[in-house]
Amino acid sequence: MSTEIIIETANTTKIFNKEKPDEVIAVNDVSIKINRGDFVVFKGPSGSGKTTLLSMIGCMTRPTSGSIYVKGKDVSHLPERFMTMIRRNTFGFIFQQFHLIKGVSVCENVMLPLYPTDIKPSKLRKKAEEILHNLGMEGRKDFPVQRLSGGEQQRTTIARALINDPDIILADEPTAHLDTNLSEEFLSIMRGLQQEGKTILIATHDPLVYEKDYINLIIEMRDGRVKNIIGKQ
Amino acid sequence: MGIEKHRNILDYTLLSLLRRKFKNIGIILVFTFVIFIVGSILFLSYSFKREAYLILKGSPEIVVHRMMAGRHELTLLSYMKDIIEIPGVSKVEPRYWGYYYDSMTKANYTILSMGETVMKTSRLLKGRLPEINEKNSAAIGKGVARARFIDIGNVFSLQSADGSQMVFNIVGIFETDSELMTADLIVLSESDFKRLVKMPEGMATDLAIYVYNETEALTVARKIRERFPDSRPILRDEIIRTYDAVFGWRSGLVLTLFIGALAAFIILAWDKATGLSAEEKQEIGILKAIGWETSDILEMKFWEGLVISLTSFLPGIILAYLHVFFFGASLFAPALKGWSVIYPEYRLAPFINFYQVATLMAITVIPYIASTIIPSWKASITEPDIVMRG
Amino acid sequence: MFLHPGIIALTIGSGIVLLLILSAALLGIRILRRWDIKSSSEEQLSLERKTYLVSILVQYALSFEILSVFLFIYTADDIHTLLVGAMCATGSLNANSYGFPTLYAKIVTFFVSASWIAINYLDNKAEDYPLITIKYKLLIGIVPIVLAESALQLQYFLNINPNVITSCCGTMFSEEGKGIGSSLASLPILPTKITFYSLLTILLVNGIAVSRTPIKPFTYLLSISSLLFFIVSIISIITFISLYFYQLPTHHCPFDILQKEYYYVGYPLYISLFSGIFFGMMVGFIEPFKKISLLRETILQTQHRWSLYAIIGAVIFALISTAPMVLLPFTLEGY
Repeated sequence: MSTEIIIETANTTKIFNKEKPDEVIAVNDVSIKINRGDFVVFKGPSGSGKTTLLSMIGCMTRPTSGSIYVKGKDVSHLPERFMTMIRRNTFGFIFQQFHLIKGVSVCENVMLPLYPTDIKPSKLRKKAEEILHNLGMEGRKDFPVQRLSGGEQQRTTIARALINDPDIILADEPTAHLDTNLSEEFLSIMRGLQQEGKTILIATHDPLVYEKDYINLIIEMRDGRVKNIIGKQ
Repeated sequence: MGIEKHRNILDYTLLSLLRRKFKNIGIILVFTFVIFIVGSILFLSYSFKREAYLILKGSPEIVVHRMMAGRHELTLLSYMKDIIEIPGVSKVEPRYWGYYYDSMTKANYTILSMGETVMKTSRLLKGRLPEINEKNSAAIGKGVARARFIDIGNVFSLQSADGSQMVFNIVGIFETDSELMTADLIVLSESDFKRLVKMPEGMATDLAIYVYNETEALTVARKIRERFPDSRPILRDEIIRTYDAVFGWRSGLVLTLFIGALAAFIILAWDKATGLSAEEKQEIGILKAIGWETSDILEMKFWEGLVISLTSFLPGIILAYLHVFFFGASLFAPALKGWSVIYPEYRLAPFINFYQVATLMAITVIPYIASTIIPSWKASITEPDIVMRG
Repeated sequence: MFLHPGIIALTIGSGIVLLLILSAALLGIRILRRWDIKSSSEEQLSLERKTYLVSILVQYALSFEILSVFLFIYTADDIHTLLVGAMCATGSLNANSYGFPTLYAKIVTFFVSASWIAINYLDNKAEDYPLITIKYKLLIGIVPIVLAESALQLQYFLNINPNVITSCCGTMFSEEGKGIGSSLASLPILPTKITFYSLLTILLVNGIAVSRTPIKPFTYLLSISSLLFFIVSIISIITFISLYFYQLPTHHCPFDILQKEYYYVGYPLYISLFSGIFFGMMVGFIEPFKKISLLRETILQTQHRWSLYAIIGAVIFALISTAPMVLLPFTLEGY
């Protein structure tokens, strides 16, 4: 496995409501390095800053200070327009609440991230159907998402995260609303993706997740700071 | 630089509008109504203008009548031989016409006698026109035929000025593009006309003057006025201008009053657009998080505004068209029409052109689209990380 | 002033455009003052978001402006019946001294706001927004133009008096008349034709050169030849092109070709001319920005594409204006 550093943060800090009475330091001086192909878990209680860190790495919001490098490029000062480009090309997101768009079919939900690109609709649909097929969802592709079961919703969000063929998959508390069986299923899908060469980043406080032996980097966070880094292999 | 991106975003916009049918239906209904009203005003004023134009198209360049004590008098036929000698005049003709109040149907008819050129351009639905000296025959307009329940071959009577009844055979019924022009018309022969209204010999209602070169009409009119100070020459251009100004001004006035309603609508639309529901905000957040850019959301909102405008515009303009041309603008014709309300039933000639549609769009769609700019922008800058926080 | 529907629409329209441009410019001033691309502050973020608002404000204003040019000409045509002696749009525009200046101001506004959008497009291609200062200074420069346009238009409508005898295309562009319109119409046809087609050739040659290798003398030459071709084209439309459409040796009106009677041929004619000229001029206009290294590649590609647009626009325009000369039996020889 190559040792290319795919993500690096250098003294990354995020302060909400800076210089106001309700100022919150969500992430405080975090410096970490993640290699391509890593399976990383950000562990910590809620409010520890792991979600904020994840959204900064995922180019959703900019750090207040410090830098973030994605594939060697400093993204911390990029205007939103270019952050979006990186987000769209590099990352796949899986959210705690699934965040599927109601009233829209499974297939269209999966296609959504690539709508604002110059891809032909027919080609995009084919791609989405292929991914859904691989996840065993081909029979559900024209279903409206609100009628899916929890596990099917989870697989739809995974399919959506894969539509842009991302290098990095970010998942925020992905197992919070799943039972043990579904959580195991989810993790095995992620493991499969890691074996395909994708980098997986998961923020969680679920022991089921961080006790898996194929996880090779556990970053423990508390109060916005990195408390402990456990590297395996 | 393909167009696929825009197509994809438009696709998604349509999809999401269909999902929220009921949320937008209110705004579409109100907007349709606004367009319907503005469109009706526009169509009505333009069709009146056009009616006037059709009427005047075949009319002489100058009409001369005599004035006495500031009132319209019968004109002396003896003026004709002086007028024909003015350079540039090609032809002078007497005209005989007037109004007839029919107590039976409680309507005013226009009665007219057949001069040489009169009605040469009019088409008859069926039958023919009375000959110049033919007795007791008439051609009538469709409005008169309807009001009196009579058809070709029937007879009807009119009361002459001395109280006696005159009976006429109907020899023709009119059909023209412009019903406003012939609906109330009764055409008689010259001798019958004079008998009916008891017009003295050597007189005519007015004189029609044709000139060789239209641009010299003003000069000719000036000379007539110099020669006969008691005459009043009226130029055809003046009449057209007056019609135009009156209808344009009237419709403008009504429109201006209506701008208030339009403004109210805009405020409603603004309110609706700014009040972004939590669900919608969430949705935009998701779209942005998974890779949509601010300008993509702006584009989506632009399509949304355009789709809503066009969805309202089409039914609005069709309803306005039906209202004006099939239902005689029943809602507000009295405000725009100038003439007698007890006018026989008429139907306006359908007339619509690109300019009217463009004006209607400019008055309604542009203010609406402009009012969506700020709300769209506010929606588009929703932060993507709200989906991570929530 | 009288309350004509078209006049109401145009007055509302220009009010809206003015409002949009004014708010864009005010935002622009704020952005110019506080802009700091290096900063991660909340303020910088909110300024960045405002740039989106500014660009859609200008984009909407431009599209309204394009509509308003055509609506203005149409309205002028529609009200000619109210004016003694006016027989078409030209007559109405001559009803007072504000008519033609309003039209010119509209054309200038069109070109300036279109170039703003073009620059904005380029600026958004580079990660540090290198053109931001130029862009917002230009935006502030647009304000007086739009203001002048609205003022002229309002003055024009306020001063239309339905009783004034105005000249119309029959007299204004007739050969005996005086004033600029007449001197254009009485230009000798053959030399004008030669100038028209030679400039077209120069423009096309430069366009092809730029589309192959967008380098310095050609890019500037394309801009200059586009500008000259624009002026000569307008003169040519009045001098000879329109005559072939009307099939009348004395009818020199540049607006009647927009009418239904001439199958709306004026629309493709003017649209291809304006867009072709715009892209041709922009090619040289953006040449200096090549110095910015982040933009260099984008500019080369853009110049290549825009020179193609310029060629396409000019060719379509030339084909439409040449077609009736070749296809219709009417001839101007001997006039």
